[in-house]
Amino acid sequence: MELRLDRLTKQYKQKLAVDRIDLNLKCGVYGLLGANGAGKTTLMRMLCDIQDPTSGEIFYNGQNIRKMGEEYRNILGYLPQNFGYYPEFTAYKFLLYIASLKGIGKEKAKLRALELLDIVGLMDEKKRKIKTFSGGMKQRLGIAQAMLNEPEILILDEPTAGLDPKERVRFRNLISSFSQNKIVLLSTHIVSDVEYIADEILVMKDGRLIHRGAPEVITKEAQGLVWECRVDSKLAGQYVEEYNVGNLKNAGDETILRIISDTKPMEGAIEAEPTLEDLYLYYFSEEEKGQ
Amino acid sequence: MLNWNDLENKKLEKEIRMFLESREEPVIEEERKRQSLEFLRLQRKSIHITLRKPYGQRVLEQAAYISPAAWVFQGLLVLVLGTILNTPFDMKEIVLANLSICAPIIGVIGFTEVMRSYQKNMWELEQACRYNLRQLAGMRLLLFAAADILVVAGVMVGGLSLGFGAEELLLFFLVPQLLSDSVYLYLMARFRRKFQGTVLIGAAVLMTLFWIQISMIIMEAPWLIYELSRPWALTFFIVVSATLLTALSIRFLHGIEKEEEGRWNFGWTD
Repeated sequence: MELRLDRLTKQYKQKLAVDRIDLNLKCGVYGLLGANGAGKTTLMRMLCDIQDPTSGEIFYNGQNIRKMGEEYRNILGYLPQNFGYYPEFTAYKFLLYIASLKGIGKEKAKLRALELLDIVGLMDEKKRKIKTFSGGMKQRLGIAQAMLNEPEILILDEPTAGLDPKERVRFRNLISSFSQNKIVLLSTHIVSDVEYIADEILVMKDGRLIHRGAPEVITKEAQGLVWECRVDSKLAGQYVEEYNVGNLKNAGDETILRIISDTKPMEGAIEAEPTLEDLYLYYFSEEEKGQ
Repeated sequence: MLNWNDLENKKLEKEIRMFLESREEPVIEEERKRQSLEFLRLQRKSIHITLRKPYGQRVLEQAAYISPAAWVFQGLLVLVLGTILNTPFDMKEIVLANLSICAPIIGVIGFTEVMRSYQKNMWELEQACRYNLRQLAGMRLLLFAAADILVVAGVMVGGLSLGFGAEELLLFFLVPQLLSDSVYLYLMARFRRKFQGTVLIGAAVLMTLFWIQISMIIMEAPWLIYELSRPWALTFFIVVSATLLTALSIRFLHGIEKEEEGRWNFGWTD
């Protein structure tokens, strides 16, 4: 099982959203990290055959996915960043509807829908209309519909956006349980979503893949870039403006700053053990500030 | 009361049980077990949960997911058309004019349903499914085409039974409907997702006003009804409007995946 991207590019009138990406994906969970505007959603839409690339191709097991068409979508599960619903649909009817579009027979669809509602913890809500659901419940329903056809490729675009921490942990556990013998690509700008479940992290910036590797390996790239400093609390605000501060913790009259910097930011700064979040901030601090 | 078959089955069951109890359990080698499980896993993988459904079956399945409101409005429209047809016969011209006015409204119901994927932001999910957005839109168009054919047939049968001429009904109901639907399809292909909701209704109102004007012109010159109802003229109008509708339907469906090629992000943040 292999998904290969060959110089994949997407150019809009004013923007180069995806810039010549070469990538080979095999079985496993891949976390696609990047700030807003990095090109993650555009990349995922091309992988789902929703958008045509400007140039480049995508191959699944050696076959061009655009030529495969229906055959490719048959083994695909996709959860978009923002998805709607038909207001009169209950959770159960929604899954049956998507199952019909995925070509699942009626009886199998009923069994599969019930099975997935149970797995995602929505069995008791199956007859409730989706418009009454909370954000977390909708996302769980979203992952359930993505799994209906037992996909070999699972593409999840910012699946935990808007969820509280408890829901995010639940979601991560669900993904982990579903990920056996699949290619799972999960995009996020929340580092903790992928830090614990991803086999490999793909870092995307300005349409390009700038980094790739296992979480613990690429985290080491931030070695020597993370510093902890104690400063006067009155001056903390100034330092936050001046430096790339990953964390700020009050300790009485002092504030402990976690600074990401190529060089030692100040006298007394101690080198700290980097985390994936530090690496993310190192690459995306300007974009995050812009948000 | 036991019958002969039951006795036979019980005897057979006993024999099987005795045979199994007399056998020794095989020793399960780990390697053999692993190979068997791997074989089962591969076999299971080759049986996919999805299957290829005949097109007709897919269309019928989608009928169950059309919004109930669409069918209710369709039913209300049929009632309105029935009421119009049952107006006293000495107001024949007014009845025919009213049929022309109602003709554009039929398309609003169907096309609102076709564009619902965009209105309710389901298009992305549906586009990634095996039977994608283009196929889904095609199925919805077919369903409402079938419903509209029934409505037209109903109007024809009702109108004929009430003494209206077939050519009058075709000229004042079918042709306006086909041409109005063609206009909607052209606008849908041109403006895509923006052509829904109030925009679609606005277009319907304009089409209605247009047909009111045409009807008034025709009513003021009754000889026009006669000329336009001639077989050759009527056939021409029907063939042209039906061909136009078909061509624009194909154009709309063909272009459905080319949406937003030039527009970055479809308006989202990434």
